[in-house]
Amino acid sequence: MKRNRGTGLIALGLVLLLAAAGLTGYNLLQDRQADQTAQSALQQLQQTIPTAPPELTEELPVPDYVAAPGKEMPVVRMNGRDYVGTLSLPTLGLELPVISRCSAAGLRAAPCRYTGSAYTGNLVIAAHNYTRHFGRLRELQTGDTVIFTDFDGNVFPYAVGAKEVLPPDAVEEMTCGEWDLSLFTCTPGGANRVTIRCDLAAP
Amino acid sequence: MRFKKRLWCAVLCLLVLALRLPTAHAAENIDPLRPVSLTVTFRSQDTALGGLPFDLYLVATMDRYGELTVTEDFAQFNIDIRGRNDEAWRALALTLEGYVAQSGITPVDSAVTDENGQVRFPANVEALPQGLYFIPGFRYVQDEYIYEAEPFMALLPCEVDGQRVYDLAMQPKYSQPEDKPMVCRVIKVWNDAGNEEARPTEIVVQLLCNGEVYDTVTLNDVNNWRFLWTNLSSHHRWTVVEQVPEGYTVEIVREGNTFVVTNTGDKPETPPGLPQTGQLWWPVPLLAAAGLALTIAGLLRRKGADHET
Repeated sequence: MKRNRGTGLIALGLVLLLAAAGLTGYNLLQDRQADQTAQSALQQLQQTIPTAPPELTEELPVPDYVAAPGKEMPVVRMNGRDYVGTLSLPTLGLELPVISRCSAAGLRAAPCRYTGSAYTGNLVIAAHNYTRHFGRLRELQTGDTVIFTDFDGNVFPYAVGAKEVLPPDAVEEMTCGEWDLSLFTCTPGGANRVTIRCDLAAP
Repeated sequence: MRFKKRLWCAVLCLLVLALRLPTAHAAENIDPLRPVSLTVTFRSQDTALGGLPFDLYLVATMDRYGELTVTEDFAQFNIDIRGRNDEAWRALALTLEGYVAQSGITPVDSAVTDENGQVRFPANVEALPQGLYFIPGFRYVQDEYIYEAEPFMALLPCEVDGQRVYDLAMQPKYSQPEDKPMVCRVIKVWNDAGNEEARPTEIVVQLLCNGEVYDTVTLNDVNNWRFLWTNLSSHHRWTVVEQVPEGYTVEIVREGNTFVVTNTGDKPETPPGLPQTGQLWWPVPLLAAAGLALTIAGLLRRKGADHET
């Protein structure tokens, strides 16, 4: 009977260790799936992106987004999701598709546009902190290049201008419109938002 | 639809290339009994554009305080007439053009330019009510040249440099497009950020040729809310109208061959909160630490029991 002493504690301890291992495994699996989903979508989307924006003519001397900056960015629908472009972070070796609107399901698949537009210079993109999404966002340094490409083939090159950590309710700060592009994700603990601010660079 | 409005005629008059000021005097209030007139001149350097028919539409009447009240004819359009600068007045004129042509509203006065390219209102009526007027644009071919004038708004009376002007003279901007097939592009803009879910999934836009429907297209996500018409005759005046969705106002602006149709709707007061973008990692160290501690405690307890036996 005395040999049974401590068995309950050991069993409970093992259950908790298994739970920790299970959660870790689930997170790693989710991380991997998110990467695969994003890369699969990217490959398909890249086939639809024109290699160059529409040619300008004497009658239409400016691109659509210059004639009407408030217009919606072109959308490509794929597997039930609407995408608005691709995001390239050369410093991190990342190329990702961007979903048109933010949702919990969308964020599990790819970065999502939170608000704004590349045309009006106030684009805000959110993504999970999966390793191959925005998990390494904090590694970006001032001056690093970030490129957004829309589905008309218009390329918007940006330079990182600042790195901030904002509280989770900082909607106004996040969407203040002072930066041409903002990228954000959760800090590792999930309490705050790592935010990379970018200015449009000369093409 | 009534609203307070100061006389912003200075900006309105930026539409004109020349303005012949009458012998005006400063006045705090408008004299509601004083007659108003509008003289429009169309001349291309030495060429006077004679024989051009012109219609004058009353968009809103004005009281002695400058307050405008939209007329019954124009109240049917979901259009904001509160022009606050020259760009807004120009947009208002461009927006109204197609709708006026399509609706068959009766002008308050009509006249034809004389041999000097001049037309003066009132022409066929005794007097004009004080208020905001709309004059449509046109495309006109004379001596193998094409002349195109933009539509414009005229406020009678208006105030220029602190002086009240009851007899306004205007010379609208015009251009001389080339005589070759042309294109027209329409681009849709939604000004309702944050309320995208309430948007209609598509809208119907019509291309008007001299006020008559030439083509009808549907704009939606599939065509990325835009359309291009090609091979259009440069001898006609092309305008665009939209079937305005409920809950939205419309503004149509033209730059070159591009029409930008903007619908403005309600916007949410505050954008949605920042989404959760983190994985559930924080319980992992807690579970591991607690599990390890309990396991060690259990093993120590068992060891103690072994010693007792």
